[in-house]
Amino acid sequence: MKAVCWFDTEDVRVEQVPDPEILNPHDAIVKVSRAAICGSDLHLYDGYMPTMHAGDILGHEAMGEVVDVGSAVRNLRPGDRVVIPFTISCGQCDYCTRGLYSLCDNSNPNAWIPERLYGQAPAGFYGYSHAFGGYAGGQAEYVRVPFADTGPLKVPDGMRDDAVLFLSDIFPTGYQAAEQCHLREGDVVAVWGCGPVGQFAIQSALLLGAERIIAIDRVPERLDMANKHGKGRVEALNRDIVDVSEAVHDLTGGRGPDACIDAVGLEAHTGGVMGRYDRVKQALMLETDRAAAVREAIQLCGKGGTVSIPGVYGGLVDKFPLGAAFNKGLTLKLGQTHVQKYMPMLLEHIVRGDIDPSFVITHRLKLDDAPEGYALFRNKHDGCIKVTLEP
Amino acid sequence: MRPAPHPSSTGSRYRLGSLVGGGLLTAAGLRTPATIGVPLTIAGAALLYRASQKAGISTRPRRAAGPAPVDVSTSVTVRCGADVLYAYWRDFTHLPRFMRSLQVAEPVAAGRYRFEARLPGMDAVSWTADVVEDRASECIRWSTPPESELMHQGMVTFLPAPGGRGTEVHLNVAYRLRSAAATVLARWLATVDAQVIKEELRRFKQCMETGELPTTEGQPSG
Repeated sequence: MKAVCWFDTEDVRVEQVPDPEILNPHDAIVKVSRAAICGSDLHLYDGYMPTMHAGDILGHEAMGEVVDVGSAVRNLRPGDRVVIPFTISCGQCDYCTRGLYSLCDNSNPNAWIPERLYGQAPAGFYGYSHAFGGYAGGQAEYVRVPFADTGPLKVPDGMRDDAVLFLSDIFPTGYQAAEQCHLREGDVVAVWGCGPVGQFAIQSALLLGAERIIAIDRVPERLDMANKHGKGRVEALNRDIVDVSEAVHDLTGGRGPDACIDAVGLEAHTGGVMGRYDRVKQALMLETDRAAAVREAIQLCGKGGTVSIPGVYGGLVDKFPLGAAFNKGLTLKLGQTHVQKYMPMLLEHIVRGDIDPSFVITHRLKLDDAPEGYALFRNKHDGCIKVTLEP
Repeated sequence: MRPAPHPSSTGSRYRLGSLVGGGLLTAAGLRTPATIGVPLTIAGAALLYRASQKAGISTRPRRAAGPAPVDVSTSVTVRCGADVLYAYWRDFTHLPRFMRSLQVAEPVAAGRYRFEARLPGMDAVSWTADVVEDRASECIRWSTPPESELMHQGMVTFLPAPGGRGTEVHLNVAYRLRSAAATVLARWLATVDAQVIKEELRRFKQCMETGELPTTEGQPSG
């Protein structure tokens, strides 16, 4: 089959590889009909995630048709059309039974690697480095799905791939980010980063009743998208044009936002002294992550507010304003998404027509064009916000 | 009874911190101008030295002493009742399913088992062990006979986890050789360390909770 393989920083290629096979009784094999490139794939593309091996198959946003199931799979049959959550979860451990699917105890065969870094290991993920399981990803013609009883969501007939594909990651990720802000009527939410996860965080905050959203980015196309789909409740701030600190202060009458969402993560692009400081420290391996977005979010968040972090962080950050978080009594909520927990409910929203997640797609490419898709997405060329790939 | 914390497990975090910190400081020191770089490099080297001492890395010539004795305590919480876990473990023929250091475990007499392990390209090694303590749903302890070349003791304890989260499984395993001869047994024992034993207990949990062991062996790559 054809698959998108990582070879090195900024070096991904479409290669001919063997088809996947059932390796365990709870496995299924899915013939991929549509996959996507995620913003977090860019951390691999840019070489910020260790434990990638040359030849690893990328991709953790995928859907398709079940073509084979292992002997222990009960709820799927060949022919079922499914969306695959990026979190691989056993469904049996204490975390899975509590709905904390991204913390599954049993799905990461390389759990010892993150345990050394983090003390405990999260679940395994598709195509996201050997520290997170080393599982072959879904940017391919076929993908092996472990613990298939606890993962794939069956899609009703007649629904377009475009409409449901993002249930695999970015829609639930944006939703979890907003939900864990515990929004109340009248709340103002500021969102750092208006890439796809930021767009879904905005949409989810609107679904959950936020009165106003402040969308912060420096890419005009992303801010336009946030505005266009913002139901008249989005105020877009281009940080290249306005002083974000002053603007957020003014837009909230000096209170600061009730909730701040960092949908940027470890590769924040900021200028100024702190931006240069982060780049130097990262280059010297004295910090792994550039934390500009979360620093600003904590600094600007209103007293008693919540800072919610769907943006991905991997290691150590510097100048983390814990004092500001402490003395303003902030709540910090963070973590990988418990995708399976949200999929059925968000599918209902799509079926009811509350949202059509395909609005974020700007580029529909063939799988063969994936290397071009990665470069377009990373460089934000041609108004690129979200790339889907069709085998 | 809850097993006492194992003394060697507490130092590893500091050691790792010293190693990482020392490495980073040294790397940074070597890349920066001398006024800042020299003190950084010295500080980094000091941390690396400290880590090496804590790790038991000796700079003295090595004596031919055979593999170091192994004495490891580790634990995991399994979402199953103690009775189920005890019953599975008590049938020692199940052990090779989750202990990759073993290939065979078979009963040879009442309460006595024969174990066999193989390394790629080497003859198999084997030994016997007797169950010396057996308390249903609580504890199993086993030991090699007094004359055995491989001196091995193991104990697994099952305790209820708080909050209805299943059972805490505490494992203590010790191996040492009676002589320092460079035997196949010595070469096998050199492959058994704390991480191997931790992984075996993790696989026990995976096996009991899901009925399978997660793997990527055999999957495609480019």
